[in-house]
Amino acid sequence: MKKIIYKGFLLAFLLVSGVACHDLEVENLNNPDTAKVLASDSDVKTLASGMFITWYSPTHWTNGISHMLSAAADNLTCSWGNFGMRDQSWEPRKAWDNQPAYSYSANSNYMFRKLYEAVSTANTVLQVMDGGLDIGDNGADNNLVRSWSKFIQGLGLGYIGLNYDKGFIVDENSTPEEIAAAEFFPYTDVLDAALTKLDEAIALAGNSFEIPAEWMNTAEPLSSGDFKKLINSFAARLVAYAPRNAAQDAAANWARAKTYADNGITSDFIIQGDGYVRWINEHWVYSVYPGWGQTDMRVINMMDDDQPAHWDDDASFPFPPESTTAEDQRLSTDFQYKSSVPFRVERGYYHFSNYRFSRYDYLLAGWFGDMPEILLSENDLIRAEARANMGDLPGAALIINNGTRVTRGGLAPVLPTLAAIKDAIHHERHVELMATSLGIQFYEMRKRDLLQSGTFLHLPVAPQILETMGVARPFYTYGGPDAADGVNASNGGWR
Amino acid sequence: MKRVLLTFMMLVLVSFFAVAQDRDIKGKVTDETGLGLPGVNVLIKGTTNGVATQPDGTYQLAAPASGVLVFRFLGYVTQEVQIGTQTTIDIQLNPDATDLGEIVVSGVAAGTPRKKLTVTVAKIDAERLSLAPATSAGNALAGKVAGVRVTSGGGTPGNDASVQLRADNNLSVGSGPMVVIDGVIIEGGLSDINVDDIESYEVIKGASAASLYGSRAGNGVIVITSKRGNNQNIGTTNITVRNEIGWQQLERTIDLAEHHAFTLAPDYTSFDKFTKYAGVTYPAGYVGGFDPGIVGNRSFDADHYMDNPFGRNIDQQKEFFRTGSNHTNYVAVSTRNATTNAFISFENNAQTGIIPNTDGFARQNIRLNIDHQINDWLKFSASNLIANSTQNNPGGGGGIFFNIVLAEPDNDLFLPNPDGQPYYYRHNQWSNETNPLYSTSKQVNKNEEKRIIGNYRLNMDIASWINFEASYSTEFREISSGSYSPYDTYTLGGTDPLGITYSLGSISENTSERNVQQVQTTLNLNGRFGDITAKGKISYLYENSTIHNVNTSGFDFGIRDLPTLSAIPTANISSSNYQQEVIASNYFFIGSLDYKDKILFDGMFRIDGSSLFGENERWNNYYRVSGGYRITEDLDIPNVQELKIRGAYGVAGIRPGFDWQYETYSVSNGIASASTLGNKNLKPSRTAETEVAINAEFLNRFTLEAIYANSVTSDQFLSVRLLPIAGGFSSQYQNAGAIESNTFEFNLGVNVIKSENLTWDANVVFSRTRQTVTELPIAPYTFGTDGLFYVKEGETYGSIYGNTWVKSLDAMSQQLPEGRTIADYEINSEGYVVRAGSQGTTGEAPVKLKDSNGLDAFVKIGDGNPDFYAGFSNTIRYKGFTAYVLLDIKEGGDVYNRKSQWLTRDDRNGIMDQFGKPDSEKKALEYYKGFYDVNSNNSYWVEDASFVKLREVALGYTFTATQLQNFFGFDAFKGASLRAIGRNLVTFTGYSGYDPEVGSIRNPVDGTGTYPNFRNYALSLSLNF
Repeated sequence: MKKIIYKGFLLAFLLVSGVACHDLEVENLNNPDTAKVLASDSDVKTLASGMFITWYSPTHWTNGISHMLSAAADNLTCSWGNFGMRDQSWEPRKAWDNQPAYSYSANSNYMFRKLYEAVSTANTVLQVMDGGLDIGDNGADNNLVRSWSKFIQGLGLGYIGLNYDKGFIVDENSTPEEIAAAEFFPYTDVLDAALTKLDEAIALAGNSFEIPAEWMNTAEPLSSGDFKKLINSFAARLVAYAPRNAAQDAAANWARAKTYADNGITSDFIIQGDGYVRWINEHWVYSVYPGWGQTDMRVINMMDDDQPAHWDDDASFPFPPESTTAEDQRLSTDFQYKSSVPFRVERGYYHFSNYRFSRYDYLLAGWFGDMPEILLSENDLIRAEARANMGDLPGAALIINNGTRVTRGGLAPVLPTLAAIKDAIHHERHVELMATSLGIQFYEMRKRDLLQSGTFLHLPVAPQILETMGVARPFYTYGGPDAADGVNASNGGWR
Repeated sequence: MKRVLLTFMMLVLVSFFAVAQDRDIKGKVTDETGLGLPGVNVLIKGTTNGVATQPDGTYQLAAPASGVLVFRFLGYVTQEVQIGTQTTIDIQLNPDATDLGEIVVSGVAAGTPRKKLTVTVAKIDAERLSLAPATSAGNALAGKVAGVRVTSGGGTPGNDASVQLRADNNLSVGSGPMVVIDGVIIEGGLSDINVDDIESYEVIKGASAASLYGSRAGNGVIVITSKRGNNQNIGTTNITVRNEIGWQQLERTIDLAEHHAFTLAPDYTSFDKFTKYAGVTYPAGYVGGFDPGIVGNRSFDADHYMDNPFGRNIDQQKEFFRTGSNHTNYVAVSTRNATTNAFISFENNAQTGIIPNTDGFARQNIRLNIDHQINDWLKFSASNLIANSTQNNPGGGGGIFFNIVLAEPDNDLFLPNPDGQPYYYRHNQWSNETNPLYSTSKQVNKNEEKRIIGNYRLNMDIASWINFEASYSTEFREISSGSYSPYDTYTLGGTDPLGITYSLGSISENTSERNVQQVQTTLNLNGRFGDITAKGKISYLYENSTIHNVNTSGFDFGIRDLPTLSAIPTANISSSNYQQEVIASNYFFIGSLDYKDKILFDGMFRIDGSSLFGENERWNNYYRVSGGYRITEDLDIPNVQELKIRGAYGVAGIRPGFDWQYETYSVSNGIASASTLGNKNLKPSRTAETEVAINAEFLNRFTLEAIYANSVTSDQFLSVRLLPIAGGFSSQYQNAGAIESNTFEFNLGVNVIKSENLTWDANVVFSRTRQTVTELPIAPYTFGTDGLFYVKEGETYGSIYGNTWVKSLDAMSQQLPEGRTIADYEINSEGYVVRAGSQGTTGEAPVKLKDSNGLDAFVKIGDGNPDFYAGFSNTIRYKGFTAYVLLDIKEGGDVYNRKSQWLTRDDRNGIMDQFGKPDSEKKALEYYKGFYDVNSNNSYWVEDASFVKLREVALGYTFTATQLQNFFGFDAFKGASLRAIGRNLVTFTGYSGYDPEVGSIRNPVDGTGTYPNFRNYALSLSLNF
């Protein structure tokens, strides 16, 4: 009997030990959810602080489209297939492959998606604030976060408008029904919406606040005054770089561009490299790294007309010697002669080049240092361009002649004629602004009808997005010799 | 007459008395674990008199002292005991080691003889494993079990093989089976589990059989049982010592081009250190490698044929890969007394692999298994494994395997660097690919793992029909990984004209602590009701597993040659951590009914709750019903000794990933950004399987098991893309989609010869699986390496999609470019349509097939699924000699040879070499570049990866104790065995890469960074004391 009692006691003990009630709720300690991210005003501010890198990554990393645009613009030359560089620099040009299976459609998808992620996050922040949340003590940071969020909305929508034929227009006031409807608007509407957001950001930046240095990894915090200038410069970009062809360029709202640019930056806007962690301009990296991109001969020729503008696709084409009498002295200060080319012969000699861009080689030693995002000269060029298009040719020439064309390039001052000024701007955008920010040379080439015939003028909506929306295949695309309509694909060309 | 009659009567009486002198005999029959065995037939030999044992294994009968009791039970070795003076005869029956008579304990209610199984559980025992012991538990099953696919996607010593049971039924999660070792559901791999310790594998292949294991068992279960001391005689101690030494060697190299198309300088033959090209000026004293003093570029001969020699022709692969070595030292001691048995072992294993300057893999395992009978109703058992392993991966990572085949034949990998370091980093003037020898010599990449697997079990007899068991299991793993590049490690870049610079160094230190704990309580039930034997089990299982990772890395050393993070400025150090906990509570019941050993029925039900399930789907149910009928118990079929039909239907599941249910923002540098939308309704995927099978024994020498299984996995985990305009969330995990698979498999064993001195056993395993995506509510999508595999409703899961090439003029006529006629085209010598008259010229180019919209057609170009898998083993024993051969066969199944495609980019592919061809057959290199197509996914690079592989070979001799005694002159050993062993010795295949066994089962892609598989041959000496 004792044995039975003992067994029963032991059994009960073991059963209770084993079959205990266990709570199956486990918290995810690695990733916050919306409730955590928006739990307090400081959390919301932290969320807002990451929105610029969300814009920066698709516009400056290899996941995006910057390399293919530079190659298409004959600014960068590289015959490697990576990032779509080769496919957008075929001679003659080929159509953009907008099917999901195409390797580099992922770059377009990343660009499209990340830009809207930035916009959506800004929308979330603004919705919370509209719901009554004050940021900082007594709302001390309300203007900072509101202005910043409007800025991000403008950047996100703006770069959709610059690079795609159409896009969504969403903001903090979009209803769930509107979001679910996912209606596309033409790029012009998207750009208008972007500029509206930037105008709102500019207005809010009239208040006093400071953008923390780590939000854009600048060397110092940005005062609201400097931030206001920066927003104006970005807005000037959107107006100046939007035209798809020369006719649209002539018809652009240059007065608006002038206003923005005149209120734009007064010194270089520079992002600091962080050792290749997050803040890295990979667009520059793969434009200059040994074995990767070199400078297109067209640009070399612009600096020294003794150099060929095009390396003919011929084995007997003589290897061009190093320049000794370049008109633009930057060829010797910002570029490095290469006596041998790393590209494969059978991919076309037309990819060959005898120079690489070396201006920012100081970054190669550890990836720390200044990474110019908007040089003062870029803003000045828009100021000049706006004046020239509005008829103020002397004013335009004055800006250019006070700028890098003369100070760094040692070139002769430009004459106050529209053609000369536009050529000078064209030259500077290719030489001075090389490898700074996304697409500058592409936008310049397209609005002057200089992109080689068949080059797309903007991208179709990424196929992964169309797929998600249930659009039937095959998905539409642009580019190629048979589609050179001057509206979606270039029908001009510098050669 | 009366006396005669009296005498006769007396004799009858005596006889009657003798019969009447039967005595009462009682006792208990137990199985090998000591549990009572019900239903054992206890017969008086030569009579039909006897009884069956009670549910607790006890029996009682009257028998004459001169009699012999026969104890017979299916699946166990029959035993006979002379009664003599005994009145109590307790006996332990041992499992029958013959193939189909073995006892299976996994996936069933209780230990069940194979002949009475109603589901599919394959078993591989120690004897089979010991013929050619695998280097780890992960790859020991290759070719041995029907329906089990084992692929070593690369040869990295210490890496796990991928294992799949039957079909790949999962879209977003892996298809590896759940693995249980000595009662512990493990989460780590099998590479640090040594085979010498393994008593058996039980492979529960389908979801129907595995349903007992619930929401983790949708991919089947492998149960590994280690050796114990319970199978030896009481009062004995056995010692086994085994030493193995072997060599590792690349079986074959890739065919690379030995000629090029560049124009040679007229005086090129005067130079033997490098190839002197026309149009290039070399600095004085140039001996090879990158030199900024070189001016000009190589240019092609007019014909663009790769038929020009290099200045010298080095076989770079031969120079690079080395013959590695492996060794194993193993000692095991087992002992048993009346109440306790123990098994203790130690193994030291080291495998260098075939990469220079790399130490490879080493592990040390210690095992202690013990059983102790505390009293007549309480038993304690413990199983422990302590494993310590170190894996040194090649410096430079997978890139070295690409760089070595890209090196041109005239490159000298042994030139010094400008600072005197060996192996010049830029060994090739014409390429940026770097020297793999430099990377292996300079960089360190190491993983260390400490692992403890333990199971502690109390078994308590409560009553004759009920037994209680409680166990605690744990698996603890501490994984440390790290890499180190010294300050003066060269990298491309910088401003030096050589284009190289010191990287300034980097270091990373990562630790991962993983802890698994399980508590299980089980009531084992058995009973006998007339002709029906019933067994059952009611169990509760609690699971808890935690992961805690800390990763730290830094770059740019402030102090040289000090491999510590302290030598790096704080600003250059970053760290992160990760933590997760998973909790599960599971309840299940399983019961089996056995009517007269011939009609068999099983049923089970299980409820699983897990923290991995969305909060609205916390609990999920699993079940199984199965039955069998042993026909030959009722029908006498000539030449058929056993025939059973059986069928089963069951449901098992796969749990979702840790964070799939949660709404997540990714976090980096203290900043959050929207990532995935949560799903409170996320539940485990559900695999329902129906299985029918036949088991037979015939002609006294054949055993056959043939199985057909159909399974449907629904509620798949789909990462559904979202438009980025609603909160910025990019995707959400949802349960949707289904895959249906059908598997036919058989196992045929033949006892070809069975005589006193000679036995020959052959075994064939075969399986054929088809798997189709039957439901996909989202847009078709690509996955896997470079998006090669396409998931589409109605399509085979595992299909390779991409572009293809026009191979008929009919097809070409459907897509003629404007202004062309079909007369402008012809089919070339390789069967591809090219421009007419272009053959042998630089204009010869393949034409991509277009679709109806004029776009490059996106079509099926291959299928990673083989037509069938088979294994064919033969074991021949003649006296002490043993010969064993295992052929592993894969018929069909494509591999995408991306490496070959890449090699074409750099003119290194052997197919491009035109030397020795008649001029009429030569092709310009542009022709091959057309297929290269900048690494687009296209059909040219899809290769049939069929193979017949000599997976295991062993030749040996086993010395008996007598032989050894005669030799040594004293009783030195109980036995000894000397063997020559080969693993993966020869592969017969048409595949052009190192090995058609490459990539994973789901992702058969031959990437550029794959460590090649290699052959291994070894000598093994085993001594038993």
